[in-house]
Amino acid sequence: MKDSLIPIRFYKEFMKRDWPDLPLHAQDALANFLMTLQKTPDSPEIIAGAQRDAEGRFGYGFSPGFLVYWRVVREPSMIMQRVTASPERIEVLAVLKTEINLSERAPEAGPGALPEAEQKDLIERVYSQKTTVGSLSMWGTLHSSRTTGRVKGWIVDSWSEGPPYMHSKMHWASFPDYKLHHMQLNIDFSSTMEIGPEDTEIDPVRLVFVHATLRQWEQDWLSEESKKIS
Amino acid sequence: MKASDVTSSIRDFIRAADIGRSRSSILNQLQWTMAILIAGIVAFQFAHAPTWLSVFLAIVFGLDAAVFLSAFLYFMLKRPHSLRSESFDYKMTELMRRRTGEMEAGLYEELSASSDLKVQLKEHTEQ
Repeated sequence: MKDSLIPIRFYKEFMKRDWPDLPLHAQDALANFLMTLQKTPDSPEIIAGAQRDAEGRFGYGFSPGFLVYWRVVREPSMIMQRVTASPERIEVLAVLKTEINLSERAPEAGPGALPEAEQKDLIERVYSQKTTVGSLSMWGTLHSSRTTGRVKGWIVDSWSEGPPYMHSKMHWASFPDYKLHHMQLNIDFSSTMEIGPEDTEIDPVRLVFVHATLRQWEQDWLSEESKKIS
Repeated sequence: MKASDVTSSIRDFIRAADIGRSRSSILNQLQWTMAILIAGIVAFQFAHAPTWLSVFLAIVFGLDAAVFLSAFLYFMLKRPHSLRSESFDYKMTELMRRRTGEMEAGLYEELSASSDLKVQLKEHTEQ
């Protein structure tokens, strides 16, 4: 049976860096998932549980807090019939943790204060939403601190597809004051995020839209959480 | 893990890559305009169009390039974050494309069966 399996390729960092860093239960879950994928890459169960992007790559949460991304490479001679062409190999493109290592500059305490210290934390997603109002769109993920368990803030990405035109921009919205900060997100197995200074040049339309939406989402999140408790 | 959790979790991380929509950099529109103008100039040459049409497009291209360079310098000095590709979609796409490119260049490890991972896992557990 082993001979009929579709070969599977892993990105170069996987075996030495990412696989050993997975906890045992996640290693077990990933190995099981990939075994199923190798046997039946087009199985309806896998397709139904996965998300597919515009370029045909798939993503799947194989264990809580862990995601795997792959693509199925098919016979070159049958490019025009990609749906039915037989798979040549599977390429595992990324394995990611959903938690993010966060670093931020502590605000200055006042005149004569010591230079800004860097604060570090590990945050995890607790809620996500997206919305479109007219030409304005945004998505956001609410994150809590792994260290304190408290809500830390939102990652929000906002843009518009019509007047007033606004390019896509990610901000960190601190909780609960919702100050919007510049941020730099680096996505990899261990994703990192650096929070920069407050964005003081933000477009007023974007600012109002993001603030109003986040207030609404906060209410929605609290409502959902209260339902879970009751 | 609930199916809805999985779906929303992945949605956060794999939102459809659509660079046109995400407008990853503030100068994207100017870059696209330059690309379209170059394509137009080339097409006019192949079609043996009147010279004045090509000259006209070349002038517009020159103006666009001048605006692009001026805007780039302005944002580089005043608002460097506007030039960064900050969209989440863009970053995910960037990572996937880099990995795909590396694999095409032969930088990968291949297993004939994922069960080999299980063997590694078992050995690790026994140790």
